[in-house]
Amino acid sequence: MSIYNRSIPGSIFISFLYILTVCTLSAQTVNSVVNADHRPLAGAVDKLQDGLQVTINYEDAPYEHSGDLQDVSTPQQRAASPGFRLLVPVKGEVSTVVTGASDADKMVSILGLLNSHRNAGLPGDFTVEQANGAYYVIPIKVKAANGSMRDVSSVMRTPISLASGERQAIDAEAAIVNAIGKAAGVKIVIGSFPFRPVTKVTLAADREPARDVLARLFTKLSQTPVCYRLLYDPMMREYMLNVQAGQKPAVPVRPADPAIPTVQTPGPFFKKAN
Amino acid sequence: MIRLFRTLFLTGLGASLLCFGQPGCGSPGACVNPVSVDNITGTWTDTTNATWSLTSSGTSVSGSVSVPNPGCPTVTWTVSGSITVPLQSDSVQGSTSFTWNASSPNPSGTCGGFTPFTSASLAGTVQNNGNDKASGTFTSPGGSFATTATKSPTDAVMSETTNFVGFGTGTGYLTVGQFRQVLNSSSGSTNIFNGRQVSETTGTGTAFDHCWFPGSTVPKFVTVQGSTWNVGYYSTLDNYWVDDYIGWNTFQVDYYRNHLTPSSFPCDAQIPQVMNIATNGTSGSTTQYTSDTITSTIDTTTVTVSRAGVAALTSYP
Repeated sequence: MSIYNRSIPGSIFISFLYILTVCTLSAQTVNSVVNADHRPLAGAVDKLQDGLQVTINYEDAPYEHSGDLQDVSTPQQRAASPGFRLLVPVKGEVSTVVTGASDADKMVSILGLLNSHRNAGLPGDFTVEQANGAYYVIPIKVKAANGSMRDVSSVMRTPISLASGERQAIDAEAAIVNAIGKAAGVKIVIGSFPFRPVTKVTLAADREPARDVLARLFTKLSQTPVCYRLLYDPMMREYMLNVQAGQKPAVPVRPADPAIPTVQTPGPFFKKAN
Repeated sequence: MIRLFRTLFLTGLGASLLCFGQPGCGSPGACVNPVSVDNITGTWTDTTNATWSLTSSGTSVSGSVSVPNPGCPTVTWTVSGSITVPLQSDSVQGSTSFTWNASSPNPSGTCGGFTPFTSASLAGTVQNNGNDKASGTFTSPGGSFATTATKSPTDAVMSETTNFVGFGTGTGYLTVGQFRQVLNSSSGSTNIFNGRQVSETTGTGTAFDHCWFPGSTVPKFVTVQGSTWNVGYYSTLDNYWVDDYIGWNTFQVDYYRNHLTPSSFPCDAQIPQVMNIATNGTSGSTTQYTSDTITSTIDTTTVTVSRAGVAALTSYP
């Protein structure tokens, strides 16, 4: 189970935070994060986590409405294969401001992204949660094929169980995504995996949110922050789990070696003659 | 030299074009280097202004130490000694203990009012990563005090040889090439780089990913991950760093084949890779020692990977 799990749903809280933000902007250095992409939130959190020095995970919504999708096939591809379509989420832009380094400031910045996404009318609706010492941007709504908005749940919150045992790292991740797939009725394939795949790890889970189990796996495999991007492919109706390095750590200030004065020659190899 | 032997596995999943190393270096960024220095051959200068010219063989050390005596001939002592390499443990930074004993000064007579001691010693530890920093205690009949020693020049990598090991064998691994590198020294030493740490950065040459398209769930690969490897991690592979995994995994290959038209193939990606080696002990400093290019190509029935001109092709599915 996660040690800390807090959900921040609802527009009232967001509005309050925005009022708070606006009120404090004038007194602080403000940096902004802007990202235009087919998954603008995913790219934006990449930028934001470096600036905020936090780990932010991201999960796509399962896009299905035609209005949420965009054909990015090239004229050459269509000429070569008439009728060919390459459907991905529609492109859009999101932005937010980075106002400070407190936990509240960080939450404001992330919520700013989500609000920007919502205001731009981009596909899906998202919220942010905290768990495992990280933030999780997860979908809460998506436009159904019939045009109505329907609720969705984070597939990475699906409770899973894993038999205790030693596995290779890649097999451990495969076991996690397979357990999610079985429990949630979705297909997840393994994408980027920036670890040595044959490292042996011992892992077990007993009806725990999959993201907690995954976080535990990351801890076993890396000494530096790691995050994931769970991206949905609307054509194949499956997810790809891309694991990547988290925020770039601030360069530590290494204490200087203790100064040892150079000994004057001829030095301690000699004794002074009487 | 005692190092823990670990079985090498051929398999590996390269979920990106590259690259990950041994335990502790499994993801980008700094990592603990458990490999201790097992060859301290070189010229070390300490804060007493003594120059130690040493040759390391197994756990034995021999050579000489020269100390200037202003206005008089430089005095040279014969050196014998040893190094002690601890048992390797993944989570513990490697550190090699040493004792260098100086004796039989030549000339041994008094000159300029100073007489060389007949014996002295320096004992301490050598930091890995750079293999070029030592700290310890100098002891002579005149007393003891702390000192540091620096190896100069640091052993330079003359070249790096890339060896293709094979493609992975497990699920998801079949299209990932595993490359194993050996560092070649100008002296011909086959273990001088054990304990050094190498890392990758993206070079300034041409990078492209012609398979990627906007909105792809497979990331665009135009930069390296920034992985780190510890040279000599496996006791049977002196001067080797193990391994560089290159290529899209099978799920990613499937993705592109499912989403692109047949006319889109072959499609390929290329990244210039710069290889750096640590210097100045564990300070974090590095210097570039070589550069190369890594590539991967997806065709309708095959996948090709290459590193530094060493290429391999596999049929998939």
